[in-house]
Amino acid sequence: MRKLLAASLLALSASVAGNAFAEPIKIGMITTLSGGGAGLGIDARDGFMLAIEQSGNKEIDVVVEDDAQKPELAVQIADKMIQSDKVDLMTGIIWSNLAMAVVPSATAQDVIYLSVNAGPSALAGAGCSPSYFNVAYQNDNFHEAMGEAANKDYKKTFIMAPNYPAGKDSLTGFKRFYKGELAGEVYTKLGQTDYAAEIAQIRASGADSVFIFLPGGMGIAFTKQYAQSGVGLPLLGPAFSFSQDVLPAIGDAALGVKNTASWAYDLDNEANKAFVEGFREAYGRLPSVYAAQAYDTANLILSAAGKASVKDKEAFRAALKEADFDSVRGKFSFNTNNHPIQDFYVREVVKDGDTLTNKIVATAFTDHKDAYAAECKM
Amino acid sequence: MSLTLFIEQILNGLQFGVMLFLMAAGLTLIFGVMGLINLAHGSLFMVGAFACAAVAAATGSFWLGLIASLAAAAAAGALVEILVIRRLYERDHLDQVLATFALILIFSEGTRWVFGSFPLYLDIPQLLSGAVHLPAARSTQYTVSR
Repeated sequence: MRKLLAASLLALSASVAGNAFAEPIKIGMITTLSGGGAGLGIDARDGFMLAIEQSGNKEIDVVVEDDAQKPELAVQIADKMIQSDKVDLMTGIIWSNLAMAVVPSATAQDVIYLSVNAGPSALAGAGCSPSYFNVAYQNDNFHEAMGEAANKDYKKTFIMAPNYPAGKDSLTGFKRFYKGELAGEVYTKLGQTDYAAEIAQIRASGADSVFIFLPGGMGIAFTKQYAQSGVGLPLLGPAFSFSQDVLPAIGDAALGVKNTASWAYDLDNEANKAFVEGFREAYGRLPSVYAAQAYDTANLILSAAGKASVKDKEAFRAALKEADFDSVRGKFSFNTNNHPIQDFYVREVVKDGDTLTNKIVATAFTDHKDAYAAECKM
Repeated sequence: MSLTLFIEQILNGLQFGVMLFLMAAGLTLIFGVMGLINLAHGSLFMVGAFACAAVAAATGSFWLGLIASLAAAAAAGALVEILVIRRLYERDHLDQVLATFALILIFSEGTRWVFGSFPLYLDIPQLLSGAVHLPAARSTQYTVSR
């Protein structure tokens, strides 16, 4: 009798999960939950967990750990997750310098890594791996879109980014499509909070616009100080600098700023509506682009879990590569180097009631691919 | 490099230097006059800053926050003296280093426990916001507050 009960329970749970391989999947999520970059990691975690909860799949076990934005800590956590927790998949890293420290060794140990945010160029080109999937973008992409969009209005832009892999990728991406002149190019310290020196340089440079890539707390600090300084040149940037996690802290100083992303909360498709509503209901705030990417990552994993066993790495990788899920970004597919082919939009910071948020105002690229895919041999 | 940029950068350096001096002055004063090493000196600044941000966010007034920050830092200092440092005056400097280093960890974890790991932000009060014109360099505006 007990056996029968157990068997029927098992059958029930399999049918509830609604997939052919209702086996446990253990996912290790390393992300930034403390310090100036915490907003990004918290949003990524919340977006990811929302998709898992909405799926009702009880077989998925997510282990979340805080890397405090420190590469050495991320490496330690990754070793622990791979060796003692025996995770099947890994995800969650926000910062490219941490991704560079963790991803190559994880994929070398045959753990599949899915990026929710960081997309360093080194891992998109020669350093690509069949076990590394980037569900977000290649780092250059948002900045390429802004470079293209800036051509319309500006001739002389001052560009600035933090000195780390994503910062280098950022300015490279912007310059790849921007045809105007550069009034200056500055790399700042990662995590810098005082931008008085840079603002003085901007003022002296004779620029007609300022492009900044300053994610998290850096963007908040810069934008506030910039508004205070009275320089007043138009600000441009990727969505990271004006994302939902930083807008409330910047305040009205951000109004009217143009920024580029692959996603916005008003993007018109069914998956996105379900996501934005679900996120609002579950967490009481608007999602950011990080949350959207993480939500897509979780749904990609769920779609692959329905097709193949996670123990059969070859089959699971093939299932992931099909990207057979409803992306909140609308169209989504993988290029040859496991990086996305997707559209990019220009958004503008507006006030919706009392909340600052981004609305799409134009499309920058359609079916855009990254510049490194040709260098990837796999 | 234009003169404007040069003067502005000098001022930036000066204000940053003065800020560091203000923080360091307390540390050296305590070490020099009292012969006590207090590694947790910076933690008292942190307590004050968090108190100011929390009170300013709750009441909407920076000035109440300022008063709260002074009160909180003074209270934390007094508490540390009574509970820990009073026992260490006669001891070796190494013991003081050890105990006050532990205090840094306790204060850091304590604030994370109370305020969470998400950073708090403080708006500059109206009175101090904006920029001033400097006569020396015609177009130089320099942010006073910060």
